[in-house]
Amino acid sequence: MDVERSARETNDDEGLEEKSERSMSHESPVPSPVPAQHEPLSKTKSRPSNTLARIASRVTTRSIRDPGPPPDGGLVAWTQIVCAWLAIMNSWGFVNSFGAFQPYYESVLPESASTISWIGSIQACLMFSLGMFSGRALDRGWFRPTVGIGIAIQILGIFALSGAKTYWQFLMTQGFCTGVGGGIFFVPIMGLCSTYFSTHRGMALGIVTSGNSVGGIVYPVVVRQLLGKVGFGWTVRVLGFINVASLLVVIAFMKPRLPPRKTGPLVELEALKDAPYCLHVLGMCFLMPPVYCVFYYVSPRSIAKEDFVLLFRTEKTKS
Amino acid sequence: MPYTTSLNMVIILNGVGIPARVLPGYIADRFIGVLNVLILCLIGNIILLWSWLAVDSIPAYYCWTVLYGLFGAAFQSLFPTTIAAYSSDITKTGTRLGMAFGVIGLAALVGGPISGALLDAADGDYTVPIAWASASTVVGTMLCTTARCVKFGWKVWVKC
Repeated sequence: MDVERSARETNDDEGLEEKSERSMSHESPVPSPVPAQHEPLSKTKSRPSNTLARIASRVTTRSIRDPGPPPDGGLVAWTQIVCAWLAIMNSWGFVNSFGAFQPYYESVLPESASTISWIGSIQACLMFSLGMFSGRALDRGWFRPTVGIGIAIQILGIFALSGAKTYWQFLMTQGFCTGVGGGIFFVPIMGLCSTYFSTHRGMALGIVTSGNSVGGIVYPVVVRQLLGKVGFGWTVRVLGFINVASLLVVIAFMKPRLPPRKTGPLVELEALKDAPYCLHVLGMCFLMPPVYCVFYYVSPRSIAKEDFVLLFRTEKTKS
Repeated sequence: MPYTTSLNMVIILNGVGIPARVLPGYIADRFIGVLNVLILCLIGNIILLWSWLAVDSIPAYYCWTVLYGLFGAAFQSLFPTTIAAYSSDITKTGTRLGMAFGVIGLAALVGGPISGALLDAADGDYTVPIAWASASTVVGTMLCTTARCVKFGWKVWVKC
């Protein structure tokens, strides 16, 4: 506490900010009297005493004292699991439901099935790849802003999709926008969950990933029930409202637990010399495309099996 | 099967994944280890993908979708853990997972378009993309099995 006190004495302007930091630390699930070794970090951060820095001290986790070992259960920890489950449902569930959109796009767009499946592929690729960067934001203490931006981009993408008419509009909204948004918020959320659990971590994360499957049910069911009745625009807007409602819960109740910590390097060249690791990742590169092949084409193929292949062919030539 | 009914396939594929995402992790932790569970799942995947070629009736299609949903979801839920299994230094696990996700993301990018291009080239015959998916899974399984054996030995009963 000495460091904090001296910091306050040296700079009176920071009084307000210190107070806000204190009130935040009281909210933390395990209030710890231990003066954290991260104190100097908070001091250097709060030196420019302008509005921006004051806001930053509230949105980052710099003010959190190290709360000790993970609670591994309890109301707060399980709330995080519920929120993360919703977030995974809204991000990966939406990616996994692309199979529901594929046959519809094939029927309304003149583009080939291959060109159309780029929409879902780009979405999945961005979800995987952006996590590499956004996961580090959690470690650096920028949980809330990162997740907030991700959620905003994803919801923007879905509502823009509802007005899309041409292939490029579908690609930019569903492919890029929702992919970037989901990719930004899902990794920090998964990472946050694992900081709340130790021995039950496997089970907790298993429950969270089941949101993936539930999303893959919810979205196609909504599409199936509504597409014929209210048209594509309103169907997608309903999906958007589902996301708004559940992601608001996520942003309201998810709470970072740990102070910022040093992150590892983005790329570790040593890993490239590790033959089993490289072989395994290479193997995964062969295993992942077939999974998406099935997820995107399981629905179109079942249509084709019933000689309905003609239906889509004729609609395509008409349009 | 009309469009709205065909969406049942997507729903089933995801729905049966709920138990299949939790159970393999439990079996792996409790009994045989995550890499062994992965290899068993992949063998199941190979058999199912090749048998997709033979599915030609609606009841068979429903059965196939349920079975693939189980094995496909098991694979999807296991693969991040298996990558972590190859990183012995815990401080670098995050970096290695990130690198792997970046590369696998690019691989996932080509999955849909390749199958679509093969479908167009074969003039709507699903045999070609299905054969490609199955063959690719065979290659991937061989690479993953080799990686497991190089790292943990060629014995069958090693928990890893």
